[in-house]
Amino acid sequence: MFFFDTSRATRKVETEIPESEWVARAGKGDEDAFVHLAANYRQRIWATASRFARSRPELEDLVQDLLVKLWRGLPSYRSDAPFEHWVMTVAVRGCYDFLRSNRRRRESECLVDPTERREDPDPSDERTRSRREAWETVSLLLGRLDPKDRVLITLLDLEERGVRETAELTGWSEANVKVRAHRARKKMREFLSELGLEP
Amino acid sequence: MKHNDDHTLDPLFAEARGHHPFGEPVDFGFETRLRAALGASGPGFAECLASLSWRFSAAFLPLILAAFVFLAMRHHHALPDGVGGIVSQWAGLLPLPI
Repeated sequence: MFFFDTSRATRKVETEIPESEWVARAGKGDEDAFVHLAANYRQRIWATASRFARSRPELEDLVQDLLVKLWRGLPSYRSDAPFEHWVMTVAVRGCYDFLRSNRRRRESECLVDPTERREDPDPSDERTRSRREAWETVSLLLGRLDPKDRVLITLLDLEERGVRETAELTGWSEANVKVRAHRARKKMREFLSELGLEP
Repeated sequence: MKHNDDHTLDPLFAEARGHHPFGEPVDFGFETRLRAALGASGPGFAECLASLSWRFSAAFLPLILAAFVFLAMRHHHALPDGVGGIVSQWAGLLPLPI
């Protein structure tokens, strides 16, 4: 029996539609168009949000909340800025709100999800272990900063974004970003020496 | 782009950057969960307030004034003289023994 592969044909048609049209459709309330956009941007949102969540279920919930925020905010999106920039702005500000609202609870919780250690692809791999340990230390230090500083250090030092881009994403002035980042790094160095983890 | 001028945190950040603590997102069930979340997310109080914000903008002041004049004329066929007249006229509509 002959089967026609409709999924491949649909995918081809979808890729031919420019992103601006998907955005326009989603802005008018087209849920299918939004799901298409969400699938495209999910990876980037996930990567940024993973620096703020403490467990995979928490990260999944956070990403879901950010996507809902995007859906609600779409009618207010103006096409004078690139869509990706707007998406990341909503995501970064959403992560900041998440940090602020969960701060007290986060302070009383353990820092590293023990299940994640078991999910390491190859725990014997020296490189992987070194990266994981570095992340755990950075995570420990970030956990002692206030949410604003934490967002800044994550964007500047972990995502390697520029000062201007960070200022645009957060909505804070460039001078504020520079001063806060400088102070936050100083605090991190102090915490590091308090913990006796200085190299 | 480099922002750090110290050598204590630099190597730590460089190593941490390569670690993805929770791996990659799973595609299975993504669309179903997203559609359910979108369906459940009705506009909240903040969204309702934001949708009303244009009603408070200065651009609508002439419209509000026009509506006020229209209502005043409809009730009394002519506008009373002066602000005092308007106040006393509208005060008369209040359910108070003024």
